[in-house]
Amino acid sequence: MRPTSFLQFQQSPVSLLVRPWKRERDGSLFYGLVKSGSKRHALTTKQGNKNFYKGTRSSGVGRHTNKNRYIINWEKVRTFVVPTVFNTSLKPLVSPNAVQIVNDFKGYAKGPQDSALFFDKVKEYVYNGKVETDASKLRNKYIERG
Amino acid sequence: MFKRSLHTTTKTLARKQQVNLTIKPPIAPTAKNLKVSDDHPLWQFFHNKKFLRKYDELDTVGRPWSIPELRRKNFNDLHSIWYACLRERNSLAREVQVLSAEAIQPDRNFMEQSDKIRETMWRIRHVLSERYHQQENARVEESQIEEFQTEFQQYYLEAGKEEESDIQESLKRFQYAIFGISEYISENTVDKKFISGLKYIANLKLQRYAPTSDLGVVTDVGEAFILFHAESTEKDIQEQIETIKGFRSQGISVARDEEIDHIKAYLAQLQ
Repeated sequence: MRPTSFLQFQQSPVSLLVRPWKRERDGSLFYGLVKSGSKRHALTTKQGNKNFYKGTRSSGVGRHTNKNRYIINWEKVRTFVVPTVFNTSLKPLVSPNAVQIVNDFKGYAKGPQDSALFFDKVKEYVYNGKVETDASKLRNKYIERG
Repeated sequence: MFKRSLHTTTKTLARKQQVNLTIKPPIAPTAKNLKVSDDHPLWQFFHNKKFLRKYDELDTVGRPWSIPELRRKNFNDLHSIWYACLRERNSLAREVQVLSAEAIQPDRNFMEQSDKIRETMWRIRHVLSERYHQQENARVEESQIEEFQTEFQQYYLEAGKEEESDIQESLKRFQYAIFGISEYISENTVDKKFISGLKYIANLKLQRYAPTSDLGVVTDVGEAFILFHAESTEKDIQEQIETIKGFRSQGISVARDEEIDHIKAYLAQLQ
């Protein structure tokens, strides 16, 4: 006996045979008819039986009425939020000649998620304002605290 | 025998003689004959209003933003980069779609460009999630916040007269960083934190500019707001202390459960 099968001793042999699937009321299998080969992949829209609807999460933004109209629910419609202050000087890509800076989170064990770093930055802001300090400035032209 | 000619519909549908009809040359259905205004929103899907870019017009040398570079940017800048990426990927996807009519596979040069920009986009999300986790970690450590408050209090109270303008600026930054109270009234949301900030800063000012006053610790939010709003001079604070004493003698105070509504009304008046 293979070791996995004794873990499933409560299940009947028939249910073990149809293990990865469920049955509908009419006896048909709920998605997937293949019982062999590699099967732990995401199903595509073309797979599965009549009960499988994958969709693209792109429809269903409203409802149909019985007079052939479609009422859009604007809360479901996808929106793209424009930045409040749109800085158009920033581009999607950077010049290849730009210096690639490196962050060493020296003294901060959790790195960018360290709360001590957060408090240090808050203190620097409160006492000095938005200016560069000894701790935050660039060292050796490419190393920064983070 | 047909009676169709006697029908009323026949009479109405009958072709009448047209007058002043001139024949113009036909308009060919080409793109040149279409006029599109320069500010049409769909131009956002075209790079420099070009239908299709050549390969040498693509930015093949640029590299995606690195994570340390993005860590330097504030939220608005990150949002701007994200939006620029989104626009560029839209026009690239359109160009790939145009080329796909002729080719079997999607065009490699355009797709590589799109993938590079996608790299910038996941890095923006990464940096934002880092910031979120950092703030969540910091929020738990209340003892650290209290420690900083006492440290700042010491700095504020012990500063000399020559540092007056410095401490007033740093007080503004302190109230913004710890209690979220902005200089601009419209940016503020009145909540529990805001109220506790008002009281804390009112007491700070009272201790600095009128250490010998007999008001005691200010706990009433109305009194705290008067002191918070007062100018940072001994004279103005002294005047406000007199008005507060006047209120106290008349028995005017704000109940605990009405604090937020009261301050909202005050701010609405000031705006």
